[in-house]
Amino acid sequence: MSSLLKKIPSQARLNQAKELSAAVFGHTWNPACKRNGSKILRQELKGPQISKYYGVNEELPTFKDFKKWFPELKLVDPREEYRLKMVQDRKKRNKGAPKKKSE
Amino acid sequence: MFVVRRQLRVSGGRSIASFSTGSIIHKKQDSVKFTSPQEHIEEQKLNKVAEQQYQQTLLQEDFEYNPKYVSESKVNPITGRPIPINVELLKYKPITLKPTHGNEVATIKFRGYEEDSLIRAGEFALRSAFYLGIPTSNLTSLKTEKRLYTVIKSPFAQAKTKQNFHRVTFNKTITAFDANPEVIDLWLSYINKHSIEGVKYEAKMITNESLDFSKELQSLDEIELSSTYNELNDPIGNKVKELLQSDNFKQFLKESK
Amino acid sequence: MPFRFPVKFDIPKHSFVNARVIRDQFKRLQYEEHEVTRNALKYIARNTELPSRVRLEAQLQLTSMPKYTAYNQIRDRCVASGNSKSLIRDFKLNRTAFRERARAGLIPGVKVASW
Repeated sequence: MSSLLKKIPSQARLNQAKELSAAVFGHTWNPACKRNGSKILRQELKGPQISKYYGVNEELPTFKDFKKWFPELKLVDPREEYRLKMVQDRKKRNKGAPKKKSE
Repeated sequence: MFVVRRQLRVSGGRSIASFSTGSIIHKKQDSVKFTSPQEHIEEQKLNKVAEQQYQQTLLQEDFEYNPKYVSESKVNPITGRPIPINVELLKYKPITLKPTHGNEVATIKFRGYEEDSLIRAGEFALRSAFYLGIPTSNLTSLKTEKRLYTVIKSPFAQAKTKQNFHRVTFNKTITAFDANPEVIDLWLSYINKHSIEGVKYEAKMITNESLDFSKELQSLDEIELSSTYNELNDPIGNKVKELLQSDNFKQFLKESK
Repeated sequence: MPFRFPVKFDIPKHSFVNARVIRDQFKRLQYEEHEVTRNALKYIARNTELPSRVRLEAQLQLTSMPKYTAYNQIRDRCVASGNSKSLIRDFKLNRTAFRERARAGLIPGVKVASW
């Protein structure tokens, strides 16, 4: 039994082998589990995805573009019309935006 | 023989926008600006000319057309001609060829909210694979995903009354065996050309390369990697280097030595 | 009217827009611009193998960056109403906006559930 145990290599030797294999296969070798911040290096950049949340302006034309392309059709955006109407209504009730300051 | 298995992922067809939630994978692509009506018309004209040229080149070669029939006597009442066997076969479930070696070459995944359209897309793929001579598995179902959304019914307060909505996503898959990558390419592009709206197609190709594949790649002078690969050489690592070499940090690095 | 933000940027055209949405969009764009720098500084600060003075300097530089370049300042908002509460992330919609659309059958695949 004792002869069998002797044949098992020491821990230091095993670690050497592991280090070598890590170098060969391009793995990281960090036996002490030191905090080396590699987690941050490994992360993917999420900025491009995040900045697209509200949609990309260049992807689709807006109502204004259609107005510009087809002026002969005299298109009217119902939502814009409604907004302007509401602004007028608010002004009538003296609830509109304050006047600009004049110096 | 040593072989490196390489996986390629391709997704095509008309994808459904709301699938793209929560994925961090992104490629830096130049945002494509929408085309104005005039530009669109011009584009269509160019496409039409190219299509006509392509059709003419096809017509210049002479090809044989001798369809097989179920029976010569059975005649389509409208056209007055016998029904070709491949048209007749549309009434039945698609036939598949049996794999000869069982070497998996490609898988296609179908994803969508309607099972009928998934079956349509899948059977189209199976039929085209049969005529191209690609052995495939049958159209098999994968796990159906059900997502439940419970929202408060009222726009304000009364939080006890709720309403349930759900979205069921069906998944199906086809595996192709023992075919050349060229044939698989042809098959996939054909499927992509006739893709159905409302189905997301995702193809995974497995190709075998010899162990000195990287050397072969280097020896090719013509190959040019697309601009997306430029981003891959670690922008954060480069920035760290730049920062540590700046005067501010150099001073502290020297002190500690 | 002067532009209220330190950097000029495009206001989103395809979403509901109010002051809070614009503010959030500004933070998103700023985060994208400074992400690499922030992560690099973070890496230096968290790396225990570097000398402590260097790490401290990195941490100081990180804290001296404007708050609007930080990720935790970004909050997902409803694309249809600008609301930030009770948001369903799969659709980027607030619960009322979602219910209206789902009932009208405007969201692909979503149906009223009953079992």
